[in-house]
Amino acid sequence: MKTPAAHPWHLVLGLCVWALWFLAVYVGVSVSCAVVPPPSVQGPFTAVNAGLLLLTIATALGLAWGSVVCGRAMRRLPTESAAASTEAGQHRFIAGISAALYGVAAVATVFVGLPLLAMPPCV
Amino acid sequence: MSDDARHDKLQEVWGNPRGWRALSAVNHSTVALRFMVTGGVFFLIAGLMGMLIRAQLARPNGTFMGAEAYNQAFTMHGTMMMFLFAVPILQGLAAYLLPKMLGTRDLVFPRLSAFGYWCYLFGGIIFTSSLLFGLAPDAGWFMYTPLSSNVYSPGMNADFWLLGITFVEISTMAAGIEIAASILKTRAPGMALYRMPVFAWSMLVTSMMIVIGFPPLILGSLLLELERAAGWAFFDPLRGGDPLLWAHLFWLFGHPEVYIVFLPAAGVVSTIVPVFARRSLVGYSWVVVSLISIGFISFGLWVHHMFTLGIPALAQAFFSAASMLVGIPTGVQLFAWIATLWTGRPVWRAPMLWIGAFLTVFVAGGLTGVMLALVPFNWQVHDTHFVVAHFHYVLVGGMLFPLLAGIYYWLPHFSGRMPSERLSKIGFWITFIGFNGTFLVMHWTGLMGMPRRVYTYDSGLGWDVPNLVSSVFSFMMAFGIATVLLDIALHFRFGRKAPPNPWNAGTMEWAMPLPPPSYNFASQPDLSMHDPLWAEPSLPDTIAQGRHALADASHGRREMLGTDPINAQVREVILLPTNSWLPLVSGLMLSALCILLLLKQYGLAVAVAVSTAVVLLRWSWLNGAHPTMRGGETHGLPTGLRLHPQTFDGPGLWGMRLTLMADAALYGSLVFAWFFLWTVAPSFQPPAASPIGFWPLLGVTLVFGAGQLLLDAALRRLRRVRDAGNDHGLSRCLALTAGCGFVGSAGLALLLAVAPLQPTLGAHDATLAFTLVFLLVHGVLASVLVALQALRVSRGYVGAHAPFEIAVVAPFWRFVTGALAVAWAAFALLPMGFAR
Repeated sequence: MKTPAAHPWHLVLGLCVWALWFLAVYVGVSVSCAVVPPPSVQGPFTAVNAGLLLLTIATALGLAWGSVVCGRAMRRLPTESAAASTEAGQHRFIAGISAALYGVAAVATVFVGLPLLAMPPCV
Repeated sequence: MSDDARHDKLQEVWGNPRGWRALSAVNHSTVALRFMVTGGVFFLIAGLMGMLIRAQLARPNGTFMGAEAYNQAFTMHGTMMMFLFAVPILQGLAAYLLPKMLGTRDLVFPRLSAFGYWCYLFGGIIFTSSLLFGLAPDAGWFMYTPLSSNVYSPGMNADFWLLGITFVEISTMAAGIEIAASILKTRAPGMALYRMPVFAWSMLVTSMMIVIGFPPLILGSLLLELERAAGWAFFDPLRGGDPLLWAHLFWLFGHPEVYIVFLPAAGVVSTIVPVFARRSLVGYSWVVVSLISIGFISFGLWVHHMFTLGIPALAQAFFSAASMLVGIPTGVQLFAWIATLWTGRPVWRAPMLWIGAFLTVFVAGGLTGVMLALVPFNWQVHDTHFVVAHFHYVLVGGMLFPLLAGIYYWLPHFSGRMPSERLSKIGFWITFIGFNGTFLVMHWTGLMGMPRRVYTYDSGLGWDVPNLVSSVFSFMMAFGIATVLLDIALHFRFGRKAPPNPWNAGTMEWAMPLPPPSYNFASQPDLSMHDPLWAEPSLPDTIAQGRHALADASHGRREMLGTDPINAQVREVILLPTNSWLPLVSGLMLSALCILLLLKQYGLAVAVAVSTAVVLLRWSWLNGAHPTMRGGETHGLPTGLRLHPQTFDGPGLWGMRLTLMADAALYGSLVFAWFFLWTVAPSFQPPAASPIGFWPLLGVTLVFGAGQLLLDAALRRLRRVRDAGNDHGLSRCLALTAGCGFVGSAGLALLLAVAPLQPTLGAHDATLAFTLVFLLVHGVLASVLVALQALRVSRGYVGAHAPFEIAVVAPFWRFVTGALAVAWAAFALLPMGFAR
C-alpha cells in the first residue's frame, strides 16, 4: 500500500524546514541590522520583526499541518502487532515518527520565534 | 559441511594475517579495537594534563608550572579529550559493535576503516609530540583568533593544532561516512528501520552530525593555516577579515560536537538499561524522535558560546531559546530510561553502577546547561570555573560514565571473560566520589568569580579552599580510573569464563562465540523482530549451523547481504575488499605531508601531496570492478542476487552521497564566510567590479554542465541496455566528459592565474582565491575520475555487465557543476547586482 505520508523523507523534512527557518531569521536579523537598522526607539515594532514574525507563523502552521497529515495517515495504518507485513509496520512507524518530528519542529519554531514579539532587532 | 569445516573456510576468507603482516588487516573488529586502545592511551595522556592543571591550581600563587606550560596543558587537555579520545573511542566502539548488532559481517569500507585508523594514530602522534618539543598549542582548544594568529602565536604551536587535528579529522569523517552507509545498507534482512537497535539509531544520527558538523571546522582550520603560513587574510580585521568568523566556524562544529559525543553514549545507555531491567525499552519510538530532534536542534545552539562577543540581543535570544529547547528531547530519553527501570525487574551489576552515575551527573550537568542558556546568567559566569564544572558534568557524566558502562558490559566480547564485581565496584565508587568532589565544588569556585585559563591566583579571594578540595578529589578520581584500568587488565587473566549471552541480552552481538570470530556470523539470518535473541533464543545455534544466508564461503570472496535502507529487503550481495597495505602506505604518506607542512618545506610537501594522490588513485584503480576484486563473478550466489558491482546500487553510492553532503557542508561554510565578511566585517572592502569578471566562471560552469549532460546520457543508456550487455560507445562518451572537465579545469587555472587577486592584501580576494582553488581541485579530481572510468570501460572492467562505478562517480560531477554555478552566482553575479 502506497502511503505518501510514510515516505522516509518526512523523517527529516520537518526539522530541515525548521533549520532553514532558523537560518532565515538569524540571517534576516543580522543582514537587516547591517544594511537598514531600524531606530532603537521603535522597540520590537519594526518591519524586521513583523516580516520575520509572519515567516515564523507561516512556517509553524506549515509544520503543524505536516504533523496532522502524518498523524492521520498513521492512525489509518494497522498497529505493528496487527501489521501483516514488514512494509505495513514500517509505514506506520515512519508516519508516526514523522508526525512527532513535524510537531517538534512546529513547537521549536514557535518557541524560538517568541523573542520577535518582545525584542528590538539591533540592540 | 560440518560447523568446524565451515568455520575454517570462513576464517580462511575473513581472517587477519599474522605477525607484522597484521598491520595490513582491515577487519572491523581488529581496526575498531585498535581505535579503542589508542583512544584509551590518549585519554591517559590528556588525563595527565588535567592532573598537572589541578596540581598547579591546588594552592594560590602556585609555582609548579609557569603560564606558558599551563596554557599548553589546558589546551592539550581539552583538545586531546575531544578530538583524540571522545570521538574516536566512541566511533571505535560503534565500528566494533554495529556489524554485530545489525546481523552482518563487517563495515562496508574495510580499507577506509584501516586508513582512518592510521590517520588517527599518526595525526595523534604528531599532535601529541608537540609536548615533547615544548611546542604544544597554547591558545585553548577553540584556538580563537587573533590569539592563534601569527602575531600572538608566532611559533609552531598553533600549526601543530591546525595540521594535526585536521589530519585526525580525516579519520573522524571517514568513520562517520562509513558507519552511516553501513547502517543504511547492511542491516540484516527484515531489520526495517522500526526494528533497528537504538544504538544504531544513535550512531546513524551521530554520523550524520559528523558529516555536517565537522566540515566548518576543517574549513576554518584550512583558512587559519593559510593565513598563518601564506599570509592570506581571513581573520585579520585590518585586512577586511573578522575574528568573529573563526568563532562562528569553530562553534558551528563545537556545539554539535557535544551531542556527537553524547548521542552514542545515550545509545549505549538505551542498550544496557533494558538488559538489566529485563524488559524491552519503554518508548522506543519516542527515543528515536528524541535522537533525530537533538541531531537537528543541536545545530541551532552554537552562538550560546558567543554571547559575550557583541551579537545583537534578539539574535542571542534565538540561540538562548534553542539551547533551552534541546533539553526537552534529552529529557524524553531520560524518562524512557527511568520508566524502563521502573517497570522492569532491574538487577544491579557492574555496568549499571556507571549507568546510575550517568543519570545523576548528566541531569545535573544538563540543568546547569539550561542556566547557561540564559543570556544574563551566561554573561555573569562566562569564562569562569562554573562553565568548566558544567561541561565536565555533561561530558564526563554524559560520555565517560556511559562509555565505562559499555566497556564493562561488552568486556566478555573482548576477552571471553566476565568482569570482577568487587574490584569494579571499588573503582566505580572512588571515581564517582572523586569526580563530584572535584567538579561539584568547582561550580562554587566559578560563582565566586574565579576565571578559567589563569595559571595562578592570589590568596584571600576565597578561592583557596575550593581549589584545594578540587585538586585533592581530582587525584582521587585519577586513582579511581587507575583502579578501573587495573580491574580490566586483571580480568583478562582472572575473570570468570563468560557463558554464551552472559547478560541475557536481546541484541545480536551476543549471538556469536566470545570472543567473536572474524566473520561474526557463519550465516546471515532474517531478523524480522525486535530484540532477536529474546524472540528467538535458538538463533546462535542455527546461525552457527549455517542454516541462513551466505553460509558457503568456498568461493573465497568476502561477502555479506546488501539491503534496502528503509525496509531492509535484500537487494544484492556486497563484495568486500580484503587485507591490504594501501591504507597504511597512504596514512604514512599523509603523515609525511603533515610533517613537511609543519616544517614549512612546501616544495617537498607538493611532491609528497602529488605522490599521495597517485597512491590513492592506484588504490581506487584496484577497487570496485577490478579483476583482482572478483566483482564480475556470478557463481556461488543466492538465487536472484548479484554482486554489487554488477548493480546500480551498493554501499559506494551511499558513501559518495554522504561524502558530498560533507563536501557541501564545507562549501556552504565557505559561502557563509563570504557573505559574513561582506555584511559584518567592519573593514571588508569589495571592489567596484568583481576581479574575476562575469563570463569566465559562467563559461567554466557551462563546460562542466555539458560534461554532465554527456555523463547523464551515458548513465541513462547504461540503465537501458544493462541486461542486453551492449555498451558500445560508452568509453568514448566518458572520455568526452572527462575532456570537458579538463578544459573547464584549465579555464579555472587560467582564471586563477590571470585574475588580479591579491589574497595577502584583503579578505575579499583571499576568499575568492580560496574558492577558485577549491573548485579547481574538485574539477581536476572529477575529470581524472571520469577519465579513469573511460579507461576501465575500455579494459572491460566496467560496462553494462558492471555499471556500478559510473553510478558512483556521476553525483560527484553533479556536485562540481552545482558548486561552480553557486560560485558564479555568489562571486560574479551578486557583486554585479550590488554595483548597479
